[in-house]
Amino acid sequence: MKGKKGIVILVTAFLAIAVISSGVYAKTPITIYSSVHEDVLAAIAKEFNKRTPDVELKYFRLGTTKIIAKVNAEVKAGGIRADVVWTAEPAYFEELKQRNLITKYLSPAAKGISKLFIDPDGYYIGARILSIGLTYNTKLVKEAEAPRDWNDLLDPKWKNQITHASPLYSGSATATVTGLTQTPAYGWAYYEKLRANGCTIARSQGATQRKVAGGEYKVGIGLDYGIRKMNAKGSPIQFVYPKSGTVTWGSPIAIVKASEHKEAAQKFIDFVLSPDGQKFLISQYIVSVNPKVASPKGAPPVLDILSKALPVDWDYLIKNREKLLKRFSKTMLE
Amino acid sequence: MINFRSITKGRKIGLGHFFMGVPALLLLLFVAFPISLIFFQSVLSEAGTLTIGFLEKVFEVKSNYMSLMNTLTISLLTVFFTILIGCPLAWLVTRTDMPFKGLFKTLFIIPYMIPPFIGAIAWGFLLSPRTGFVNKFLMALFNSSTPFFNIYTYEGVVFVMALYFYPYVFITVTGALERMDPTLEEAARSSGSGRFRVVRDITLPLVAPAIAAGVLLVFIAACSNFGIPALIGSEGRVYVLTTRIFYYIYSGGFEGLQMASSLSIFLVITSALALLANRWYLRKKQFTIIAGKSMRPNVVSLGKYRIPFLIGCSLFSFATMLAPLLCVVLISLLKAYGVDIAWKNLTLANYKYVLFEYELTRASMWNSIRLSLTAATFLTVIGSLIAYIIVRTKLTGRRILEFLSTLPYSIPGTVLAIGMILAFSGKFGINLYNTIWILLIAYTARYMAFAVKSVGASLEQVHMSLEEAARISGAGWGRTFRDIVVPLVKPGLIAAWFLAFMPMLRELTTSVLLFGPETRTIGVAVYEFQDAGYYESAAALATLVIIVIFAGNFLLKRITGGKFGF
Repeated sequence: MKGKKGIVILVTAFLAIAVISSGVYAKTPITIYSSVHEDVLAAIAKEFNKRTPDVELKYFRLGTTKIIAKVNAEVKAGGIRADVVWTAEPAYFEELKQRNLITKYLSPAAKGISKLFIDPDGYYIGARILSIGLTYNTKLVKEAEAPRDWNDLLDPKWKNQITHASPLYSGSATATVTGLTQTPAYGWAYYEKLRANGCTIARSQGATQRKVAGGEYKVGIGLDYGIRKMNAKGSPIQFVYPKSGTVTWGSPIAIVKASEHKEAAQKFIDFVLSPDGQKFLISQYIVSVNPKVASPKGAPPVLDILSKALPVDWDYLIKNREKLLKRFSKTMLE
Repeated sequence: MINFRSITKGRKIGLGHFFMGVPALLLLLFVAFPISLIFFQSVLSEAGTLTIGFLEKVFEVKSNYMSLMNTLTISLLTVFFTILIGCPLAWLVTRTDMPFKGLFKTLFIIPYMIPPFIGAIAWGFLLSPRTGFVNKFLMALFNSSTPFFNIYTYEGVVFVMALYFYPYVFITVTGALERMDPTLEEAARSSGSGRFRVVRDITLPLVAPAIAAGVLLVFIAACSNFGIPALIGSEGRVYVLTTRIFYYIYSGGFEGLQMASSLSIFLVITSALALLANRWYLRKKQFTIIAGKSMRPNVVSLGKYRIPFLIGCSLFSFATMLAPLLCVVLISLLKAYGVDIAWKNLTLANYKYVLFEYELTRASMWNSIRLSLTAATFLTVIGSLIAYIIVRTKLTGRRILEFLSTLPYSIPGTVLAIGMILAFSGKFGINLYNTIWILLIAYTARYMAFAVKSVGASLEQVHMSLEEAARISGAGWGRTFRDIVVPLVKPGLIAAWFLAFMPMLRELTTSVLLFGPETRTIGVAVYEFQDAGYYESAAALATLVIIVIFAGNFLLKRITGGKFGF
């Protein structure tokens, strides 16, 4: 009797599990690792899940540095646990590509998006625009006196009043240093002069913003959307697109090679790049890569930004990362 | 010390073995295994062959040497100042008639409750050269244009660390003073020794093991801390091992993990040496203070110094705890970061957002609370057994157990987290990735050292004769442990539980790599706000965490009639 009862229970349990799991797996689950802000991801996920009822998108949000550490550890432990990765700067994706960890996908939604943001081999594509420019504290600096171009920071009136994020921690700061030092008009000489004018290195872009908004420093070099967001909330901080051009790049999105749900992942990338997906970025003051989407308040149209952008030589960064960071450490940190 | 064999020769043969074997196995599986995987990384090349290339490469870089030196000197200075602060304060709240000493006992552990990176931001608010409130005030007062303090210096790092870590010494020494046999001091007093001579000749030597335990925790905590050197040191161009390790993990690409592991070896060696030094020091001190008699502590009358001491303690509490705490609260009430502090700029909107609009607050609070409660209990039980093995037996390999129990705390949380991912992601048959279990294991392992040190120090003070008496009277090992050992080391157990519970409630560095879509913790939530530039929301959430800790502490104290809780 006892044995029979056991079998009945087992069979019922199996049936129950089968029923439950069939309900769950009617939807294809995909996971994205991203450094895009929580609010944006939540809104995008909600809309995407509504439009594509057969796919269930889960997101996992962390700062770029932490995502890279997590992904690298996952690779060592047997494989990336996400289907899509959307973060950081192109150099990291170039490394993922060379290690055969991401897969090719040319989205039809990429039409109209600048070639600058698309990997020529088709492995990744920029899905939001990040720009580095100048920033100042509006309580301490009048608009007329604010720096307008990179070289304005070298004015003695900003002596010991300048801050910049550290490329040892921040991916966007690495991009800044690559962009400025590889532009002949600036080069390493620019950083040497910044140091001579008392420029301090803060840890992250967040710290830079906080220090300028809090008045610890009057001016700085910072990331566009974070500053616009603080400004919109009422903080005394302003972003300036330098006259001779910003350091601009697209934060790439790519499909993980080991993903078991590539088709669903592709659908998601199509949605993110489309005007309907990109419009969610605007609420966080991020500029869209899609020229059809209007820029957030206070930012010029994407094509204007691009026409003046200082190019970042990612290939140089990939090949010379160590050299670049060493030189930066020597110039600014020691 | 007794022979281990004799323990198991009671009626319950094997019980002792079982109780000692289990913690050893747990340590091997959940500490030795993941951490050894990390170290394999540093000696394995891409192709899987053995290499010392990464170790050599680490030695080549001058900044790595400099950061090693900084780590050592900063940690030693921190130790020095924590003793200087922690011991007198512990004495004041336990052994004197200072007014409000119960209140101060709670106040003095506040620094321990504030998340380090929030604390570092608050100190920046107070002491940054140009905008720090204290600097502005002093500059206005003395009509000076040069700031008085600059927190972003080497000294600044030591200052914040000392204020952050002295509670370790304070808590362990308070525990020791409370359960010290007062007759020893009475004897000295009646033989004609002065008040301070008693402290010097009797009290201080007797609490030495507790001070040593606290010091070891401080030293290891200072070596492996990331938040303070990252937020305060880096700005002043002061680098330590943990900030270098973080840099390699992030910026070094795939090779970075190997470089980071190689650099972590320095931290492991440092903490192993610290353990040995601690051992060597304690070997010469075979004091037992609790011999089974009454344990009401002896109260010293401060006489005419009562009020000056009260004022001193109040000023110290205000300057070092309430000021940064008020800073956090103030930021949480601001409409936007950087606006003037005026009534019109204050708002409760951040609290409203955090409590009612941000969906993840409640889930992450619940995750952190259940994780901390479970992990604190686990590690107190396992840690006590390990402490017992270390202190009371001559078992071969007990020093290895001690080293293993301290190891997870002596390496940066990030490195430990990576070890956990490597070990428990299914590659070796155990898949706990993205579940709450991997967090529970990491928390338990990381704070195990607290229980081992705290309970170990208590055990050192309990004389063997009590256990021997119990066994002679026929009690088995288990009964002796339950009826004699546990009640006597209870203050140590409670201290261990609290020492671990509070930092776990706001744990960040390991959680941030181990949490999954459904297991977000409160530390991660605060960090995420900060990372996204919502400093006011981060401060509001941090304030809520501090309130929860206070409330929990208060409740515990109320329910247990003042026996538990600080």
